[in-house]
Amino acid sequence: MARADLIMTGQVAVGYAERLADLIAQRFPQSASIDGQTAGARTLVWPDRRRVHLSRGVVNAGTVGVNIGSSMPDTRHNAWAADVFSVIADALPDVRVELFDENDDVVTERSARSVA
Amino acid sequence: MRLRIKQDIPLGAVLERVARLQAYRFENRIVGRLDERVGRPLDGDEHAVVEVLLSEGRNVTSLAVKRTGAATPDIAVDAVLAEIKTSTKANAANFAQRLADVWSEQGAAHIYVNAIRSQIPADALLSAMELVVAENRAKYIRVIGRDYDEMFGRW
Repeated sequence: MARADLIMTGQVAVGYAERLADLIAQRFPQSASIDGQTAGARTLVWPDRRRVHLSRGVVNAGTVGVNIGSSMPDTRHNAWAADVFSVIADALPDVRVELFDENDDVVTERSARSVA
Repeated sequence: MRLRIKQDIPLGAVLERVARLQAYRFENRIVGRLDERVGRPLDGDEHAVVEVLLSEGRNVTSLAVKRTGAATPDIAVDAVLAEIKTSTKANAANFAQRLADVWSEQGAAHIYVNAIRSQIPADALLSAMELVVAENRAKYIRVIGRDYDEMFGRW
């Protein structure tokens, strides 16, 4: 089973990494937010070592990159990744959001409402 | 020393012990040595990169995966923690994003990219890797492709 570990969102406004981190923190209250290593980046960590790192896209600064990591078995990890994906997709109805696996294959995607 | 590296100890302590191993190798003029008895066995894509490093006289140590499952660097190269990433798909942005998390998540600021099977055009991949370094999300990236070998940042 491929392990989902990366979400890339489409074009969003500056500062969305922080906004999305807040939304994920609300959905998963057991998580704790810490500042990321780079400007504007945010990392959420869980007591069981799950973590979500949100940062400006490297190649395209207008995107948000979301990296997901955990030590859970693949099935539980992927179910949790899908929940994180849903939080982000719901928050960004006008943006294309994609969930990838470790091979960069798309696991699931949510097209932007305003984009074909 | 190898057994102690395998234990669940902080990354700084791993680095200290790998440095002592490298100092021993240096004093005894041991170069081009691969030690993967400590950590998990390297896969084929990782071996391709390691073979290049060994041919250049680098000493490579495979690092153990922590029992907690927390992400750890793949290898130490001359006592420097490093990660090997393999590109096989065609999306440069996704691959770059994957690398952008390595330093903060795994503690390895030095990255080797096996791009031999990558579907990303060389110029696009190299531009993306240069950006990762320029944005200080990695200190050093070396990209080994089918017909190119480029590096960005400082070792």
